[in-house]
Amino acid sequence: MSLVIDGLTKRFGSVLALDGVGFRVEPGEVFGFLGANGAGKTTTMRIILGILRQDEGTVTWRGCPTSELPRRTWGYLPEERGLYGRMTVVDQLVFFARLHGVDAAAARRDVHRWLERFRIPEYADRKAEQLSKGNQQKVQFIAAILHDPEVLIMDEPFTGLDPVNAALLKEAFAELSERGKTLIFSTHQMDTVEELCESIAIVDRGRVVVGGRLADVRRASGRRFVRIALEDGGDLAWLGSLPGVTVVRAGRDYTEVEVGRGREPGSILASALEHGPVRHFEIADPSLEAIFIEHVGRPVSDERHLAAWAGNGQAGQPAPGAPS
Amino acid sequence: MTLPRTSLRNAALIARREYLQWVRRRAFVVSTIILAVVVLALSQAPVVLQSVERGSQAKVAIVVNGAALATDPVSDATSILSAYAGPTGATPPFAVSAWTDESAAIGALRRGELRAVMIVGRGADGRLTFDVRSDLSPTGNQAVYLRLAATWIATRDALARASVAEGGSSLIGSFAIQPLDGSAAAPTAVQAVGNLILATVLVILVFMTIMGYGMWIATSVAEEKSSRVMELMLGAATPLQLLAGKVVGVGAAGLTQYALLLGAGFVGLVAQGPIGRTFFGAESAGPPLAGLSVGILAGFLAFFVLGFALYAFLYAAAGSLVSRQEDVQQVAMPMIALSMIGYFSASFAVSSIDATWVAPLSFVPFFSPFVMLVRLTEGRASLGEVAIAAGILIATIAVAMWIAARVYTVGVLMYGQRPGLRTFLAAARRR
Repeated sequence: MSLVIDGLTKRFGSVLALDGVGFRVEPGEVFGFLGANGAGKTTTMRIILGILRQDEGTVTWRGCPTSELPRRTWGYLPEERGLYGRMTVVDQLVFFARLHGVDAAAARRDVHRWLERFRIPEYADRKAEQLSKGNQQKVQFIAAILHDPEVLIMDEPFTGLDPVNAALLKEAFAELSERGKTLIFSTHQMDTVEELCESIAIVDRGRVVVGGRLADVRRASGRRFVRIALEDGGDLAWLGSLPGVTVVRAGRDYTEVEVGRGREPGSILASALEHGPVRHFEIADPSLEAIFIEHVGRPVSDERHLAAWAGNGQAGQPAPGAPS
Repeated sequence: MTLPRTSLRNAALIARREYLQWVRRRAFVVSTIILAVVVLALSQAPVVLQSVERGSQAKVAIVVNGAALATDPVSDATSILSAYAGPTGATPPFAVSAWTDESAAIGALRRGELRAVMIVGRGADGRLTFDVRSDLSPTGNQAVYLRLAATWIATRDALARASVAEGGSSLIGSFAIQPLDGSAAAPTAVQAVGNLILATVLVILVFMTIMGYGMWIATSVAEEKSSRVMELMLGAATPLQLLAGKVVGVGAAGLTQYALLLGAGFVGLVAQGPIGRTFFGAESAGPPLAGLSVGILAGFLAFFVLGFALYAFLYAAAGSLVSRQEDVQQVAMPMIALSMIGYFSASFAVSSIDATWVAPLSFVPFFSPFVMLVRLTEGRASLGEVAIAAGILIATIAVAMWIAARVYTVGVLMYGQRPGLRTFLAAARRR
């Protein structure tokens, strides 16, 4: 009884934004939705929420079509941040909560509790336009969760947050997840996904190219990596000259190599030991970055994602998620 | 999709937010205060006018030359001239006095102490002659009144000389204008002019509201879109709830402003008496908007609300099509053009209510709030006709709401497109 997205297609004019997107999210999971700009993440989220209507495909939550579910099932943090600039923080948070049927007094209480948690209680009676972008983002997050939704859908929740605020947000994620809420968020930040998510889906040009439990996705790739560092921090670039070994990353802290099928990772350790004492040795599954590149063909930060999209598209059509 | 109760709750919440945001704006407060002051000043206009008229009270001297009259010409003239003293007879426009010395009277006329000197004589045929010295316009109202007074003096004199007892100061037992049985009173000339003014004022009010508040709705939708708060709202409420809430909230703000202005006007009218006495020494004038009946007020309210709703939904849809507030004007052009046509048609209809195009136009939804209002105010529309026009208007509002919700749903998530009719149609078709 999970959130099942099946065969979603959505066309904007001549642009095919979604081309049969499908994946499932188990209740209580933290789910990472990965993809470059314009891959179709925002469009998929908007369809789940009923803000957009799909051309084809279905979305069900616990076996029920989303169109029959009350809106308060969902909490939504849009990618495009916006608040009513001239309203105070408390007033608009209470307003949003009441739209979802929350009693005004209870909403007010919760607002103050959350502002406290996010360390901005002093902004309660300020107008939203007087807040910094990061603080506005926290206010928007509160707006998304005040009505205690079962499923929280967040579009790029970490973008624009400094490390302290990102940590506060991750804490909130943990608490909500503990309370059995289902969290779905999109991001470009691979390390955040690796840190927080149990399951993922990677979308590229309107298609899910790989998805499932993160551990399974890593294992399914069949690739193995070795991370190794010498006690004296000596250069290990020569590992690349070994047969079946490719250097993926040659850093000062450690060197990462991909180990081919015919080769034992232990043999790399043996070779390294000949050059001195080894400080660090780790056999690792592929990083999410590597998996992304493997399936999409280029890193998530690559500008060509957008270029490829623009080549497909037609001027004047909405590019979902693209800034205007 | 959602329960109607939820929809109502959300629309009400959104309306409340819009209303509070709008009435707290400085522009709203300032414009209301300025307009209230204007209304208060205007409501005192009759008092001021009256005091000015009082200052120009025409003093008339009557000089009887030799010929002895059978009756007192001063009281005869006064009885005629006082009939034109205005609704309450507060300030007689004429003051008549008897003078014996003609040259003294002419002297007073020269010095401006008198407005007219009427020298009464008797001709060879026994009829009275009236020699009026005055700078009054020979064709003006006051000249006509003076001629009536002269006729009455001559009549009384002739009757007395013929020894006919005419019993008192008047030949007429009574005189009253009554409406023909059952049908509405044929408006007197004064009342008709009053209704013309009333119709013009009401049409201007409707037009100003649609233009002003309609534009505000479009701007605020564009603002929500450009500040990106829209998507947060869409996560919480349906487009129809958003639209309805916005239209009701802003409409209520408009009604509040008019209620405050009406209140100011009412206070002004009530205060006319005391203010008149205190500052101008004049008595209260009659109610200036005598034509404003409960029926007309109810009709005005109905067409005001319905007309506003129709245009407001379309303005909201238009606002959703642009990403920048600067583009609102452009995308609102169709609504501006329609309301201008309605307004100008109604302005023409005010003076040519019997033209053949007026009645048909008063049923066309985009124009009926203006044109039917004029017909209603001038008493040219039956209750049934008003009900039909209102019914058509309500049906059109339902259609407009549906179209607006569609356009809005698509429009609010579209960014960076050129606004125009084609975008509008495409948006309505899509989704």
